[in-house]
Amino acid sequence: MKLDLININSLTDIISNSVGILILFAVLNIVYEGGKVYKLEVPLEYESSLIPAFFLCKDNAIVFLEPEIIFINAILQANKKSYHKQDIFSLDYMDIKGQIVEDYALLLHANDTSSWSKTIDDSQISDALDRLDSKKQFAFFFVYDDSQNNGFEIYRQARQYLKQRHVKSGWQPVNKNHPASICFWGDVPACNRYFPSRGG
Amino acid sequence: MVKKYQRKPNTGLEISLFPFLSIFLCVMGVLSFLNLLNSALMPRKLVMTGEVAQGYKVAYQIFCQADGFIAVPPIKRLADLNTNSNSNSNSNSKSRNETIQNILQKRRQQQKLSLLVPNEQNITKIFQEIQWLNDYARQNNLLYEEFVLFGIYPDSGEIYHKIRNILDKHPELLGVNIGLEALDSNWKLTDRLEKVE
Repeated sequence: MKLDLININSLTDIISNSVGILILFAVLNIVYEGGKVYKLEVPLEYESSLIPAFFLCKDNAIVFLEPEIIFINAILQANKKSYHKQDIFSLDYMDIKGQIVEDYALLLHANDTSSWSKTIDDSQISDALDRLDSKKQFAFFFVYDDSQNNGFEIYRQARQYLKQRHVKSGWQPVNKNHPASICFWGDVPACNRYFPSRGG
Repeated sequence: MVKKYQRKPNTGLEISLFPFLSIFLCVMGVLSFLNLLNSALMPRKLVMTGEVAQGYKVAYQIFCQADGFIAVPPIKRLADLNTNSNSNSNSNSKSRNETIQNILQKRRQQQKLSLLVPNEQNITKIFQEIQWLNDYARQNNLLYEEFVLFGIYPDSGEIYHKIRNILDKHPELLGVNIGLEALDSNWKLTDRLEKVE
């Protein structure tokens, strides 16, 4: 009687080959990556007469902070009778909330980023980046640094995009305790100073 | 006898492509999987340099982490500066050379990277030291200038702002050039300082 046995030669062959290759590549990777040190070129800050255009990056999404809309809405909120000092109010702009600090700065709190641009190619953000005049303006990014929903990657993409267009940029990390703040006047000592970076 | 040398009838050689294809696809799969895994998870060792730094500019790296910072001062280039200044030294510059040697010795001692909590004392000390070296190099026409590069890891914004706030209180220290870079959590420092330079 002839028995129909399953031939496992091919299977064994495949598995042993795969395992061998896996080990080989793992060893190669460890040897190659273990000794490799990446050189990261970091642009340096400098004082400049260029005017900052502000962007907010969070959860790998980015939004341009339209100064006129933001400030007009903040003033409207602050003029309301129900307004109390240090109140956090809606700016009616991209789900960003505002807070006026001692009449010299507007703090920006971002929670929901669903309406923001998820890529640099999005026309909403690319238009804003393209509009920047390299001779008069530079981009300043407020980048959320949370480990779960930071904006590091999209910030780097935007910076690279601007670099190709010869537009300077600067940035600072922000979070719940240190939210983004835009000063009404530049000469207030307590105010943040916004610097572009050379080559950045 | 004749039968012995007769050829067998040609039945047609059947070659199955299955083993070859399966191995090929397996290898491809494993390869792409490893590559993806490697690029996503493998920690990358990094060193930061100034983008526009000319030959004589040297980076003093400060890596901000969630609960402190790691200072990575330049050592090799400072040792070169020390050798140069020793060869050109006269009696007046002897005490200055000793100061460089002290700084160098201190930096060598702290080669084991340790996490520090920023405070007024340690931050001003770092920046005063950098400023002193820069002034010394400038006065003696030596091609050497240190600047500070901050590496910002996720959740380290607090530490960075704390350092900047200390610096803002000391305008005399603001002459040192500063740069900052956002670092992902899988970017790691080299564990020995000599590799960093």
